[in-house]
Amino acid sequence: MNPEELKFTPTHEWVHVNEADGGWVATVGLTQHAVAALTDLVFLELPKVGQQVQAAKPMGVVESIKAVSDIYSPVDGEVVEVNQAVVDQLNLLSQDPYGEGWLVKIKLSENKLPDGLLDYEGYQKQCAAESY
Amino acid sequence: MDILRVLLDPPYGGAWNMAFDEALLEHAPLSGPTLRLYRWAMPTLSLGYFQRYEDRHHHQASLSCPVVRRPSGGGAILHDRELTYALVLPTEHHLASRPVALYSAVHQALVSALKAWNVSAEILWNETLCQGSTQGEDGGSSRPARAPPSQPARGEAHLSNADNLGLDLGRSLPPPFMCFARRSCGDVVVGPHKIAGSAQKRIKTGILQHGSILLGRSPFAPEFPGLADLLSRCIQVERLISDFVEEVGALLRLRPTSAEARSADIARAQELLTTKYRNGQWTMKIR
Repeated sequence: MNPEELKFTPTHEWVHVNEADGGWVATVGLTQHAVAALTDLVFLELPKVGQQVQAAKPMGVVESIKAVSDIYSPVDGEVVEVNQAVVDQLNLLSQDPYGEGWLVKIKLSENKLPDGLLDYEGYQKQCAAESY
Repeated sequence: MDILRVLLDPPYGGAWNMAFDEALLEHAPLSGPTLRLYRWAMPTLSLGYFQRYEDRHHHQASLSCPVVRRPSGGGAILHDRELTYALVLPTEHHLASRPVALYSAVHQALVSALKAWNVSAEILWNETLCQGSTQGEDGGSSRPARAPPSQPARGEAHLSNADNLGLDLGRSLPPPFMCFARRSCGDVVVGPHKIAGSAQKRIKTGILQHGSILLGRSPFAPEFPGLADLLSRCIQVERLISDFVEEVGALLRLRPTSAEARSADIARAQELLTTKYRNGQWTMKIR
């Protein structure tokens, strides 16, 4: 996926929306910036299929050598698919964060994205402002 | 200079200690930077967020101790003759978004505090040693058994700097169960012995750094000597706390100020105590 076409949360998740069966399905992942900042990844915990998630609320957890960090949902909806491959092979996150390293797919409660998501340029500015 | 709230708590049980630290983290934007130092009411084993509950059975010496799961990561710690700290920073602090720098700063504070006692503590930086481990003095059994092939052992997916270096450092094995048997860059060591380790929990509004300073050898984890054993003298804990707090404040550019627990933090900790930390589902969430 081309990151310039994605939307981003201030907490370093990316989201891409497709139409499916008359509804919107969001694919969600962690940004390359976040993965690089987390460094040595050890464990990943993702929500289960069928679980309801809320925008800006924790939906998963990632552990690096030093830190356990919450992963936030960018949208309201129901988890319809989980990328088990990335749970089993964490290197997918660093190798291809916008492709094979996606985390979950979420069917949106309403066919719209919440306010407050950043475009690529806005996200790049935020990353530059953070002194990782 | 902004204030660093310092809470010196009496010994509490493990569930309360974790509940209160999580409450401090949740309220970081309101409370501001806070450093809490405490002991434990009874010898207690704390598990890192992602550790398997069942792996505690591989550490025989601590089997009679109660167990609690931390919100932070890392390996298991036997809290007995040790000092625990919980440092909470809101996102606005310049180190809150730099977890490795924060880890190093607090450990440097401890090294500096110990230097005043003529203790040659140092921070582990050697890349090879950082990725290694020790089994403690008894060569003991703190590494969990490997899971059967059908069930990947936690840690097998470990992606480390060693990959970049082309090193085979045994990462196909799960890391040792006990924190003090692990070696990570930034750990505080005296000679070959790790005497302090830390781990963090990050949420969007702040960061909690948990750390443990080994004061003496515990009969429930006898493989790990503490400062008193390594120095062959008693440790004045109050003075260690005082020196450590001063150094942490200097490194974080904050002014340490003695504080009382906020009623909002206590109330939230009570909720977390009931719904989470005294709840077996949380403690055994990963079996």
